[in-house]
Amino acid sequence: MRLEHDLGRKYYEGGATPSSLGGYVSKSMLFDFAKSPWGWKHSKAKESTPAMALGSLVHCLALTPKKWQEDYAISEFDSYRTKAAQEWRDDMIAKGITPITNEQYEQASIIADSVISDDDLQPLLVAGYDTEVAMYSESDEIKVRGMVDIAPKSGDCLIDLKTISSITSEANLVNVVLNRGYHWQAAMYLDLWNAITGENRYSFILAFVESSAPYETAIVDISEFIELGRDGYTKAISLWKKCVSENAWTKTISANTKLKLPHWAIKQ
Amino acid sequence: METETTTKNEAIVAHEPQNYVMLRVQAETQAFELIQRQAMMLSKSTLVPKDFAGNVANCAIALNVAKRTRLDPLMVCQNLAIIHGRPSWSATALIGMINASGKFSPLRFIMDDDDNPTSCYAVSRERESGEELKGEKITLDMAKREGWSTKNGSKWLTMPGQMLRYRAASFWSRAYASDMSLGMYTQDEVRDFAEPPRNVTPKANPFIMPDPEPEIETEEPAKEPEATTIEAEIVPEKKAPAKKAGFALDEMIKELEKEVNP
Repeated sequence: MRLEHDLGRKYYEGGATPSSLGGYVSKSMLFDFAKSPWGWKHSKAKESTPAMALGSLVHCLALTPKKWQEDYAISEFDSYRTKAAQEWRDDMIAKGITPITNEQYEQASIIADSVISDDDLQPLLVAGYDTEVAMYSESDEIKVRGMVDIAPKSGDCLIDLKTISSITSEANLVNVVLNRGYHWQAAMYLDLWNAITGENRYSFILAFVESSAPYETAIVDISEFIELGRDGYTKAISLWKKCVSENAWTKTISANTKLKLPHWAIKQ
Repeated sequence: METETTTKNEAIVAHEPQNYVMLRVQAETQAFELIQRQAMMLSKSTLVPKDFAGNVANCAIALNVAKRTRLDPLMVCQNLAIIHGRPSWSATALIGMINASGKFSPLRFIMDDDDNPTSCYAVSRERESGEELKGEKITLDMAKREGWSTKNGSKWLTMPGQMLRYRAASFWSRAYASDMSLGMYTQDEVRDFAEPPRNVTPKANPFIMPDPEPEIETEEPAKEPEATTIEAEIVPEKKAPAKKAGFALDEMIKELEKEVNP
């Protein structure tokens, strides 16, 4: 069991993948796996979407603002249509650096500033905080890892930043939390943190920020979801262990399931 | 003669309670059989909702409710639904029952804003006393705090005015006419109040290995000298030396010779 700081992209190395099962499992990997072990085993690596790329850049600028140039480079070209522009882009990618436009950088900077300086979030950070703290441990002989976005130096909570297209309503955030498995993340991260540090933190804060102007924020506590999340991720770990040991990958629907005719169909 | 009559009366008096109990049991049995037959018939109807179609037990409960509320059994079936295992009234039926009771003037709903209502309370007048009976004020803030409006597919988000009225009527009926609803909630309430069963036993942090139970070192108390059993040493059994076969044969021959030649 250990905590590590300043890992940057190294954190993402050594994770369990469909072709390499022996690595660390993470919340996002387990959440995908649990939906359909068979589907996960036969899936290809996820391609980064523009929303994911923006989210990563916002994280970087908000949490490790001094290091953003280690991972990103602003393009001097208007587009990648010229040969010179393409060569520069390919060179950056080969070095492991993500090329971004100036507009992207400016937008991400505003979003990052909007959330990190939020009046509702600031009181949690007054005593100082660590960012991007990687946690490693084991549960039921399975290697597990997670990375906390913000760990306040004092207090009872851990904080995670989330970019979102639209906050809309409290009900919408509830759906987002459950559909994206943020409650699994909350439970797993608090459990990892408490096991490694010996502390007893029990609150998990999600700092939502909209990805379009005026970049509204919503700082919400999802502590009430933790027990459900713990139930989910521990079952997923057990299922993972079973699937790996038996090399048998269950499907979403088990064999010979008899579908039931719903009442609404009978009424039609 | 008088003595005879007295004895007969005494006998009747002595037997009356027993007869009464017998009659009551008989009447209850007949009533049960009747309601069972009625329920059977109702359950076969194609006009009753799915909770009652083919379900004799549910129909019997509906008949019982109809009898107690003096409503038509079909009307009860139409307005009584089993939500999360609880029988519950539709809000419209409850309002109808209050209005038709004759005890109160028709329920009125007072909203703070007709176009964008955020609060509502129900009000009625008791006919006998003329007293105005004002119900609890229901607000959208209350719906939010109680978690009614945050449930999936909640009607509070799409038709708040209607939900405010229904909930106000329900609260009013519980305060002033709980005998009409027989203590049952409305269907919307049951949906809002009901929560899926949750395992309330908190799970342990799976990354923390439980500490091994410490071995308790205890000083053994000085033992009283006890009677001891001394195991007897097992001495290997000494076998009698086998007689030589030749020696035995000699003796047999001598014996035979004695018999043959005494």
